Amino acid sequence: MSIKITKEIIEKIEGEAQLELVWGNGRVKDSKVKFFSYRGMEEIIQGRHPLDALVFTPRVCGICGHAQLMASVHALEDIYQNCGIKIELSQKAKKIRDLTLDCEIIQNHLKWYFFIILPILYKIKGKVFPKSKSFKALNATIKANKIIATFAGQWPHNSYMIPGGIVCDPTYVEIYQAKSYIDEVISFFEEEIVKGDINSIVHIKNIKELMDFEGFLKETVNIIQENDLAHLGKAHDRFIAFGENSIFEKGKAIKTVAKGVHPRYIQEESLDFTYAKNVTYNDRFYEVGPLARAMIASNTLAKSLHRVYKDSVLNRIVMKVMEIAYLSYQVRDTLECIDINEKSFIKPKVKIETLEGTGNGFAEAARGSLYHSIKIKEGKIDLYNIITPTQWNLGNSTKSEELSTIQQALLGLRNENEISLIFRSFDECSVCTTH
Amino acid sequence: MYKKSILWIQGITCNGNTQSFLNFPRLEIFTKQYKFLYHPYLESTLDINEALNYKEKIDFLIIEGAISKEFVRAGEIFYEKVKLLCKNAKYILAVGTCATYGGIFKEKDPKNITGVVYNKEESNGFLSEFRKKVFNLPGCPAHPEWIVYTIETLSAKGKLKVDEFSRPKEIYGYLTHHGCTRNEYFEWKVDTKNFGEKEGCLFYIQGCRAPITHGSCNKILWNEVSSKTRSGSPCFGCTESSFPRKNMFETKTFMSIPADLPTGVSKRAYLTVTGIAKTFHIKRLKEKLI
Repeated sequence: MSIKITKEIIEKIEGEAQLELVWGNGRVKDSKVKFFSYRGMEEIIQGRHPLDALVFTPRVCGICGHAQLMASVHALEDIYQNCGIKIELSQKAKKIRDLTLDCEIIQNHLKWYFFIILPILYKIKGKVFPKSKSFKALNATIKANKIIATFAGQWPHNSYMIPGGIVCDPTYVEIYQAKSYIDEVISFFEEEIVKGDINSIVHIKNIKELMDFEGFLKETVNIIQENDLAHLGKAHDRFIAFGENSIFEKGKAIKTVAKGVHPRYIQEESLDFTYAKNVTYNDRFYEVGPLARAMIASNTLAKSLHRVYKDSVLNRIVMKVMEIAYLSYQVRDTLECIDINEKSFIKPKVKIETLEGTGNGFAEAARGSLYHSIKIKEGKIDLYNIITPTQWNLGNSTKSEELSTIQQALLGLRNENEISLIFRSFDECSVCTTH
Repeated sequence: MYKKSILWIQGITCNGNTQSFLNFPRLEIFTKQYKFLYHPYLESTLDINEALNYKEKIDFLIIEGAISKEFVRAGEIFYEKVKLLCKNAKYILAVGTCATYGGIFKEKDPKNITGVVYNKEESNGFLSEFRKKVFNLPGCPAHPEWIVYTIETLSAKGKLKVDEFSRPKEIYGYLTHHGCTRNEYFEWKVDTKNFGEKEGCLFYIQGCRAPITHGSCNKILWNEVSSKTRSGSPCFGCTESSFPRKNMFETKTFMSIPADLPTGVSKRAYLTVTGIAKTFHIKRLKEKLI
């Protein structure tokens, strides 16, 4: 058997990574992912005022900075709770935090789908994806970002969540503006992705119902099936999520059974050839992201797809695209039930710099679970640790008995088309991984 | 028709400027008018390694992120490659605070990480030999309109007015304070009692740097809708070389007045006006707006 090794730079993943593949008999036998740059965000934050973390951590990543902010504020609030000081959050603050994070996820998924996945799929069928469609999608992302900016001041990089709430105090003028922006996002989804009404789309239960709707999602499924890709890209069929909101639940799922999770079982491992650290839960590699979230929340469509396709590239892509619909629907709904008369911010009883202790914060970022852990000592940040979604999905196993999620997913693939589709289905983020 | 070329390359960055640029509302038209040799997200003529090794003339070289001599981009030493790109560029835009002064990522290793021309406020950045053709667009991130304005103006006129940090005056001649919806509270020295309120100025307690920060954030609104200070967040002074500062949610005071006063305002002038303003108790400004 001839063994061949190829190395390829994967670009436009918020930076780059090198994918090293070991081939045998025309198939991928093993793989390694290497990230080049390390920026040292955790060290940069050390020694600073605890609240300054809210300015630094969004700058971990240009595309998921809002999730970083959410994880950071949760970790700071957890320190209060661990010190026995109750943090009161109004429903208004909670809802607005959730909906702006939802918008960040929406814009991320739209960019991924229209700038990465659809162009790859079109290439597979020998066509060029029309640029005008990508720009139309970009226009929808601009609308989603306007919603974030309406409450948070700007996107990317705001710091509007603070322990005890949010800094903005919107009127219904802003609420209605945000509503019209989300309506525009929904219209785009309805016109291009599934030609149909979002109210029916969010209730799709199986692939048969899904294929009743014309549009890019149906085309996506068709291309994947026609090119025998539907069963590729299966990993360990293990999912994990730590963040929670009105749609997402925290938990882990092995095949389709979801259970509770606890951060004490999360482990990080440094490797000598890459700046990305491995991360495992109870010594096992898990998949994070939209498919994981859907499986853990027992989403009917995900479970129905899972019966046939398991955790394959088809299920992963479909659930990520569908998450745009679920979240847009959720944002519109949330905007309708915000009571602006509630407080935006309830000042914590003591200043955070007077506390000592540690806190854990989670958020579901676009690409999966994000974890921040903070230790405060003598009024300063003593230790800051960040674990990002791509670390979960793109590990490099050092054990013989188990491959990482991506290694397992790439195993047995035959050509560039398959590899690029499966690799990019995880929507990796280089800058997050090498924070 | 000849299209001017843009090559957008990244040093040590979070991608914030790249993502901010994607918010530009007229991007599709823009990409038809200019040729992207490389952009970290948009479709480009070259791949990343071809871009790093590009040997031809470039009309606009955009550098995002801080510079170090060791930093590796796509398997190559970034500093070695970017020098030749700089040589071949007609104009260089240092986009964002990291590219301008070193910014947040400079904090990791302050001695070995700089901006393109600047190293904080000193002009000895690792690529400062190219200073004559560098235009700095600090901001964490830079606003997409600032980037496009600079490219368009240089394309059309070949020059633009800059300040002492080579920042375009039409953007950075303003202070972030200009156009803030809380201006009246500043005038009458009424501070906000708490975060999460529409009323009051954030300059006195919450750490707002808007009166000391050059930028158009409250003139050219973010995402066309708002700004940090409008939404109730202090300005962190991210367009200045002092960013990131310490204790950013708190105003440093000296004898109970802000230690840093509005740009160009003498302490005497500030104290006089403050003293007078504070003697008037204007009921309307102490009340809720709604």
